Amino acid sequence: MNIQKIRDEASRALGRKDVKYLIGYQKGSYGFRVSPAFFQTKEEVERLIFSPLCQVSLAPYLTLEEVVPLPGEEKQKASKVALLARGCDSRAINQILAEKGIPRDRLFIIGIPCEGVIDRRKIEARFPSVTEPAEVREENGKYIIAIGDQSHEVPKEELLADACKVCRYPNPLIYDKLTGDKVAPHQANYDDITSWEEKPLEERLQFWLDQFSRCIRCYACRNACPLCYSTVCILDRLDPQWVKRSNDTSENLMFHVSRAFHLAGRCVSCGECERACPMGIPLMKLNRKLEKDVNDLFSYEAGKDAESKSPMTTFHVEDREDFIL
Amino acid sequence: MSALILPKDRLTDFLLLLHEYTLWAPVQRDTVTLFEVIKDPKDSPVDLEHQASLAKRSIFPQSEELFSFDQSGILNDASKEGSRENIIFGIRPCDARSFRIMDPVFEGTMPDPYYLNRRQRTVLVGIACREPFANCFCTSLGGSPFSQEGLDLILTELDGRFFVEVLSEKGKEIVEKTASVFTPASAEDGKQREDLAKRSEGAIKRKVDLEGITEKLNGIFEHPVWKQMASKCTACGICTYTCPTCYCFDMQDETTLRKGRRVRNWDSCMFAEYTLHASGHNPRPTRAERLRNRIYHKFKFNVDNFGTFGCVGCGRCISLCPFNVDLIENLSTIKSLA
Amino acid sequence: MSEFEPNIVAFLCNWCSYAGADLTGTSRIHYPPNVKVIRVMCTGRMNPLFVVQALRQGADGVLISGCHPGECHYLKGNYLARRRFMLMRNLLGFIGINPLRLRMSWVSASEGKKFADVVTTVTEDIKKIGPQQSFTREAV
Repeated sequence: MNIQKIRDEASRALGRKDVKYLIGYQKGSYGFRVSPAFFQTKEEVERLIFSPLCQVSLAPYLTLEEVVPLPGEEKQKASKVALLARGCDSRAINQILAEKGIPRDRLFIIGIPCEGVIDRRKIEARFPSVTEPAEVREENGKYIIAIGDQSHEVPKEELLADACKVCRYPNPLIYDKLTGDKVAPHQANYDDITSWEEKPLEERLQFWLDQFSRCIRCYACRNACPLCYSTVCILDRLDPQWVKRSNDTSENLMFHVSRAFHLAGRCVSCGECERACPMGIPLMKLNRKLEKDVNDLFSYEAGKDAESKSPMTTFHVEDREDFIL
Repeated sequence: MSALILPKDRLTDFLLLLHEYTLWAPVQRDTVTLFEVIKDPKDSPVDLEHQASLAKRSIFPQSEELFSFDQSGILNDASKEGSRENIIFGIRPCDARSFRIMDPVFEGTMPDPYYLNRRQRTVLVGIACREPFANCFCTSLGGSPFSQEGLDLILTELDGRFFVEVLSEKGKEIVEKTASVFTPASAEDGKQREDLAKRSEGAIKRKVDLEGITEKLNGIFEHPVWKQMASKCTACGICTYTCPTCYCFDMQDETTLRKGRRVRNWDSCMFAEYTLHASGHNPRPTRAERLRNRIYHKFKFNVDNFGTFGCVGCGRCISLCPFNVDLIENLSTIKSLA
Repeated sequence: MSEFEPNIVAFLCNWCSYAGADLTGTSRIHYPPNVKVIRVMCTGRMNPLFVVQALRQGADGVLISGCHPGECHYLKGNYLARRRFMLMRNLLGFIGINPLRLRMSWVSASEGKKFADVVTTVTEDIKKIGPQQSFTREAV
């Protein structure tokens, strides 16, 4: 991973006449933070960074730009948006393209093979109350962490985000420019899902009811998800009202089960939902369960390309039906 | 009343003696620490180490039934219910100050009986902050890690014991009910507390000078800076829900054919549908307007209406925002605008 | 001691299963009265969220019944429903809801006896595992 090469690509992208702005990362406001950032000119590229601390996916920002109706005859300019995309981000983009969520010609994707990001909770637990700017780079399976003028070394496994430990698509699957060497993927690993399913039903239900009771319905999970880009979320609607606005375990369960189901065959396991959750609810368990099932049952993985039809709108006559009376 | 000492190993006994109160305290739930009701202090260890969130739920619940009704009329009025006194134990000085900021809103010309009912029967037992958290900036908002404002009792952790100061009649009652666990504090104890207070205040790393910010805001409503500041926000509700001074709510009647109840739930000015009109028009259609509104509310409108900033500098919005929307950074940007 | 009587919601497709259930009645075949029928035009119309809502509103079990594969009045609805049902059942099983509570069947318009058998099987199975009221929504 060569930051100068990334900055050069970003600079070239911003030099294009059809690129309006670039979405990337810059130093965060304190400690280990990295901030999503928007770059308008080549000169600004100086503040572009890319490091293991860049945990936020930039893909949600593609669908967040509110298009406010302009007065008169002005049409929205069909300019491109450039962005940095890692493996999971590129899969999210593929999936959105397959769903016709954004036109392909509106994007200029700079693909970056990813060696995994650090889970902010883990590093902040390891080094609490750090306010001075910190930098991290990876070297030989270790993270070299510079806080102020102090340097620390921590084995990568201790700080790597859980979603990255089982990532099978670290290399972008769609891009206009690729910068960086390919990264070897991890093995598929759904052991945590299968071992969970060996627990007795009552224990599972109690666990989830307990987790859902903690949810405060802030909707950060939904808003951080690259694939939740409906103009109006069905679970926000009042007509009909699927979930009440009250915070109550039953309503919260409905919200999360519904959201997980709406992501069936669409979730790319970027892990943003779980990272965003201020209550530490293990949302990825639900998504990964569906991801495993969709692959096992329908041989489909989200975001492999920009053309595949969703497994939920297609079928095989020979689909399993041993459970049907 | 002079200061007292509570040995650390008698903390559980202290809480057990207060069994006639509903006890709220910070409890660890997996990776987060939240204020929750503790049924049995022996079963639930109190977490005084991490920054706990959502203390305001004890007085201003996220979902609250106001009254229920059926075809015969109103069945019950929640504002008249509840008689147990509440104790919020382990609250930080910033959270205690936050209730002082919310009070004028709910007391105003139309007193809110639901909030006031709970507020009046709540005792705040605070813990001083020996070590500020990364994003604490209470000192920029007129607070401090050892501030006693709004508290009935305040505990300072010393070696193996808590230094306890009684700050109000309610606090005095608590101490009298639990007298058996206390011993008088010595002058040396008092000095240790002083030293810790000074050190802690000096340990606050993040600051912002808010001198003149309200006047500044008067002139920059249409400034392009709001769009740039809001560009990374994804309009979730984390900042508003975890903020100790945010109090917006939405009311809805939940009904079936023959009965129903009116509920009020927390709402967030950051949500897209917060100002969505029934006509479909939305005066704050984008995140820029909503972020601007939030900052105006806390640093101008609250000042105009109630004379104080609507912020206690707890820094939770900064720590918990997944996208690094940073209030301190935003305020500094505003101040630096020409 | 009264035995637990499950509350089961059955979504029956208009053309096959609902007609089949009708036939059960007109043939005077007895079946447990625990099932509350909601007619849908096709199982393809079934939003998987209906299943969760039913469980939240007091149902102990949900049955979805449609035309046999290849016989759907709208050609493909039941194939799509089959996929959705599989996933929803697995997801709910994952969070601890017994899969025996969520059942799907193919009952054609002429299978009056089969419908009775299906309802009997489903009712008996749920009677054995007991009620599911752990996450019922507030009474209103």
